[in-house]
Order: sequence, then C-alpha cells, then structure tokens
Amino acid sequence: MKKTNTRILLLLLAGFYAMPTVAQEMEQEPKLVQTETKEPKDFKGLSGITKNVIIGYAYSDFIYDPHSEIKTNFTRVGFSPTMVWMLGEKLFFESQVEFYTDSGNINTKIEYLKLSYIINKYMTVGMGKMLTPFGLYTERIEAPFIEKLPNAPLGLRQMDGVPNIGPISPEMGVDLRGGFYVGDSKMNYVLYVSNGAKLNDGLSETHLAGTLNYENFFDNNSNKSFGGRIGYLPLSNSSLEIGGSWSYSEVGDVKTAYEHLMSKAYSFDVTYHKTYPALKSMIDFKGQVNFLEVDKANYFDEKGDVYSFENRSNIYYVRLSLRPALVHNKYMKRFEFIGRYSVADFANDALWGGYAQRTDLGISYWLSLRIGLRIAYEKGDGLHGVSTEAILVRFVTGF
Amino acid sequence: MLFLSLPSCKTSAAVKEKSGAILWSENCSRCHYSPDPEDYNDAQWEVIVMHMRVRTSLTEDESQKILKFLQDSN
Repeated sequence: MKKTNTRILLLLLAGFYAMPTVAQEMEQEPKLVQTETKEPKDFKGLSGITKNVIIGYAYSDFIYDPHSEIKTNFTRVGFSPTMVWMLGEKLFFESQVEFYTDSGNINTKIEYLKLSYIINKYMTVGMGKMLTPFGLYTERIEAPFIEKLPNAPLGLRQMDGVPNIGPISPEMGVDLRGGFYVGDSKMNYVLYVSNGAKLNDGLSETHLAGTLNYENFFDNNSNKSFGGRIGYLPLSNSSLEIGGSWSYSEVGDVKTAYEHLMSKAYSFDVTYHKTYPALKSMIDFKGQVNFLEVDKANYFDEKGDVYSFENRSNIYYVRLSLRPALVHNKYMKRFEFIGRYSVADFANDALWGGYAQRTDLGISYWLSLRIGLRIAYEKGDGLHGVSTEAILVRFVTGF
Repeated sequence: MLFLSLPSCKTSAAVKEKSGAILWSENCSRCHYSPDPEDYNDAQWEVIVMHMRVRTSLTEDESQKILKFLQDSN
C-alpha cells in the first residue's frame, strides 16, 4: 500500500513539474504558427506583406476622314486600369483590364494577368495571360499612353479581319526572363512556352483561310509554341537596343488535316534614344520587322473549290521622333514631332493577301508628363489599292 | 550555355558607378516619359519598380538604385 502511494505521489509530482512545460508550449504555438505563416521555409521572399498600386491609362479618339461618308467621328474611348501587387519581396502579380468602345460596341477584356516569381538576380518566371515577348512593340510600345501617335503601325495591333503577322496579341503561357551586364554592354532575354496560334481553316470565315489567331485561350492541339527574344544593348548608356525574336508552333486543330501545320515567325527590332544638347532635343528611333511563314495547305474558296498559296507575310515599321526638351521656351519644350512609315505585305495569293503602306506625321503636345494631346495626319494605300487619308486626334492620360 | 555563363559576367566599373538618377533617365525614357518622383509614395514606387523590372528585364542592381533614387526624391 505504501509502495502504491509512493508511486502515485511520484506521478503527481512528475505531472506538476510537467505542467509549466505544456503551458509554455501552448503559449508558443500561436507564435510558431504565425511565424511559419509569414515566412514559409520553402520559398524565399514571401513575407506575406502585400503592397499594391493601380496604374494605367485612359484615352479618347477622334477621326476626320475626307473619303468617308461620315467625315468626322468620335470613334473610340478606352480605360485600362492596371493592378499591380507585390506579395512579398519576390512574388508579384499584375493584371490589366481593358474597357473600350469599338464600332459602337462596349468591350471588356483582360489584356494580361500574370503571376511572377523572382528566382534569383538573373531569372524571373511568370505564368498567366501575357503580352507576348515577340518583338518590342507589343510589350513596351503599344499602350496608347506610350505610343506617341494616335494609331498603331500597320499590322501591329490586333484588329478583326486583319491577319496577325507573328504573335502581336496576348497569349496564355509561361515565360522566363532576366537581364545582366557583360562589361559595358547589357543583355536581356525572354523564353516562353504558350498555347500558340490557332489556324483559321476558313470553314466559317472563307476570306481569312490561312491566317493565325494568337488569342488561343483554350489550346486547339497538344503542341505548344516555343519562342523568345534576346535583346542586346551594346552601349554603356543603354541608348541602343537591338533585339531578335522567334516563335515556332503547330497551329491546326487536333484531328484535322491541318493538325501538324507549322508556323515560324521571326522578328528584329531596334531602339535608339539619346539626348543631343546641340539640337536641344531628344531623338527617339524605333523599328521592327516581323516575318511569318505557315506551311502550305489546301483551303476552300467561296465556291467550294480547293486552292493553295505560299503563306508568307511580313510587316515592318520605322518611327522617328524629336522632342526639343532642352529649349528654354516652356511651351516649345512640350512639343514632340513624330514621323512613321509602316508596311504590311501579306501573302500575295491568299484571299486576304495584298500590300499596304502608310505614312503618319504627327505632333504630340505634353500638357504635363501624364497628359498628352496627339494629332496626326495619315496617308497611304490600303490592301486593295484604295488610298487612305485621315486626321486623327487622341487625348490620353497615364496615371 | 547562356545561363551557365551568367555568374561569370562582369559588370564594368563605369556601369557599377552609375547613380539611380542616371539609370532612371537612361532606362525609363527609352519607352515613355517618366512621372515625377513625387507622384507616388515609397511603397508605391517599390511596386512600380518591380513591375518595370519584370517587364523590361532590368537588372537587380539597376532596379534597386532606381528605387532608392525615387524614394529619396519623393
């Protein structure tokens, strides 16, 4: 009996001494959970601290077309808020939503939506709907606040009924990108995998047979597009950038005669931007050429007859602008003078084929660094030999 | 090969000495006119610079210097 009592006493004592330890663990547990939630050990840079900002732009367009039945028209307004979140030091989310009117209709779309993670100082990986890194125009220039003229070069803005020559519209996929110095010069790269383009076989839109649609948000085959861009800035002041891009993709619908049709697209771009004190001005030159080749295939015309054509097209543009930012006159320094020439040379024997060229001469007046009034005169030859001429006005703000 | 050679890439002394203001001027104005540093607060600049670092493949050193310049100037 005495032995049993001694054992019970020892157990109680052990329990008593153990109690503070359990209590301490209970106190520490929430702290541990909180710490582990804030700083997961698997990935660096996910602090859980969120910072965000909304940037973007809005614009309103007017056109005077002397050859049209309706000579004057307020054609388009657009508003594009861009939401950007930092979800830690290395994780980052961005999305741009576009609201715009087009031919009397109100449109809404997600221009891009991408989650990016900075792996290290040389590599960032991102996945989602992305502005395709093919050439420089789509990723860096196209936004109406950045494009100095009220319109885009021929073939470089996605429009209904006009073929895309290379991936000029956003795609679904993943990219890996980064930049680094090599001595005085700098290089940047982007490699990407995406759903790729979808071939228009012409069964529902006969006149567009053989064109590609890159807004392929639900892939039409298992083959993925592989592409990228390498940029090289040879000068230490980064004034010159030369870039080369490529994109390879099978484009036909699965289980059709077009399934293994390949498309190959290439692009070369150049940027030169420098301030010349002698001219009291900033000079900006940009250019880009896109080449696209799709394997030859048979299509049906409106009568149901089979036809085929060499599906090779190219587009290019060059743009030069001068802004006398160093002159003393406070009004003059707000002007920018711009000239641009663009060409679209579509596959000759396609139903949508032909040659178009256009010259744009414009003036941009910067009311502030965020607000621009742009006026341009454009003149050119359309695809079917029809001359085009118009005066365009755009009022735009970036925020 | 590109990725294997990255760690051996050396930045020249002239480039290393560039200030945030110079890098801001050289890189941002190639595409667009830059807003006034006072237009955003420190936290907002941090987000915007990360956005532009990813979009234009700025190096880590460039983006850090540009961010510091903007935060010091607002």
